[in-house]
Amino acid sequence: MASQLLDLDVVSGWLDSRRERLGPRVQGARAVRVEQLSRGVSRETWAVDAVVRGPDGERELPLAVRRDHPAGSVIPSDLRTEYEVYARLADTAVPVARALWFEDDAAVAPDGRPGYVRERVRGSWHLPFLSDDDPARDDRRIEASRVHLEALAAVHLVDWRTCGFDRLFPVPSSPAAAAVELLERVRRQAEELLGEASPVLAEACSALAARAPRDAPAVVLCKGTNGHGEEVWRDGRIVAMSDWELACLGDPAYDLAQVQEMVPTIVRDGRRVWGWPEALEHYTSRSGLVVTEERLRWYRDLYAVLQLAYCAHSGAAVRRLGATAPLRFVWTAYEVAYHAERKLAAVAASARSATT
Amino acid sequence: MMHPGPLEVVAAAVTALEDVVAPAVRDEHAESTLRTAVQLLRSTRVRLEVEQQALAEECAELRALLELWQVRLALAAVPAPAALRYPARAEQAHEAAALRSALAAAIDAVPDPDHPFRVAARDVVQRSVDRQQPWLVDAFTGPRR
Repeated sequence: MASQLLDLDVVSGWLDSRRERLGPRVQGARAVRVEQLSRGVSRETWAVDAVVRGPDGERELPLAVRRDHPAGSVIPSDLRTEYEVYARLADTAVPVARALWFEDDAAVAPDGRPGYVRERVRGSWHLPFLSDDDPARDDRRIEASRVHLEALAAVHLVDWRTCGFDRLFPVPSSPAAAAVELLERVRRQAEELLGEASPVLAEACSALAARAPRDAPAVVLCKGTNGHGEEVWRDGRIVAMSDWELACLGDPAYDLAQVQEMVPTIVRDGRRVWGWPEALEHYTSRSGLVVTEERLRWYRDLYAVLQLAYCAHSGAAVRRLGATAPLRFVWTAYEVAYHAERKLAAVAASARSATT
Repeated sequence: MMHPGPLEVVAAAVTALEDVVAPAVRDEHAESTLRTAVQLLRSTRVRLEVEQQALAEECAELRALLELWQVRLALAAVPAPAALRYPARAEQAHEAAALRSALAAAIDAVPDPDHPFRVAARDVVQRSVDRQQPWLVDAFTGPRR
């Protein structure tokens, strides 16, 4: 059955009924175009081009609607939490799209399903020059890397207590305990969702627990998935940081370990001009927080457990729904889960090589 | 009845979806979903071909490891094998899951990662992961989502 989000009249009626959320002087609203985006598969993301009417006439207002799939979400974090992250970051130095409201009134929400609405920030996630090894692109690649690291530093400098993130996420008992507590929490979550015990998970978690870092400098707000494909760029700046599904409170190394493609290794005439050592130094100069390469490696390994947990979340939905399970959930629980298991096997194997 | 077999049926479905359906799809989301569906069918084709053998090997390895250490480590009873001589795929998968659960519990019960049992367990786990590669890596040869 086609979603009501594809019906411009339904969407227009919904937006108009919430016009006070679209701006202080908005007197009416209508949708002129709606499209489901294929990026961001963990939840449904819809681009809605709205036109709002005020005392000075009409203006365009690009919006995004996020909601769970009818089957739920791929990631085991709830939609409301995702909305609350955006809402809590509104008045901080972190660039995010403005969250407008969380719709939980089934009588007016399209398809009667909860969702939230945020402004859609103009820009692009795609930085084609990142993978261009032409030396002429070096400065641009390094500058983009720096900009991204500065944005992460801004996230990590958020006063999370003042913003209320301690009411949204578990708070590590200390910076030193952040790694091992996160490992225990994610392992428990994965085991509950898998539906069967996993030897590869048991071996990998044993290896990770044995070398869990205890030298985190602070507990900070962490974004989770970040880097190329996750932020909105315009004119060489990040104008919106997106995808906060794996956000948590913890070691800043958690985020640095999840950077996607934004720290290219650039070697010219046998000399490294950019890479992880330079990136970490730049990050520390902006945040005052030290992240060691050892912690970075540990959190990269931990990511396999996180990945297995969210794949297991999809797998649980597939078990529950059978033939009506969405294909994306099946694929996540199938191919992506296997890649997580391969990484876990490699983590487990590293325990042996470290002791022999 | 025997031909075309399941492998030929799935292969023909993949070809039809790629050659006939995909070129006619205009919607980006539908196109992306179709590519994923085709990849999963490719994987299923290989899985149909090799999974039962892989499951049989895995069960044999898990059983041998658990039986070898059961008394010395006071492990729980090793789960019983599937009752039929030629068990269905579901029964084999159920047996493998029970054995994996037993192994996971045994790993947690032996905290020393250098204990010979743990070293052997990691080898079994690695081979189990490697066995799935033909249908979970090698089979994904077409365009991605």
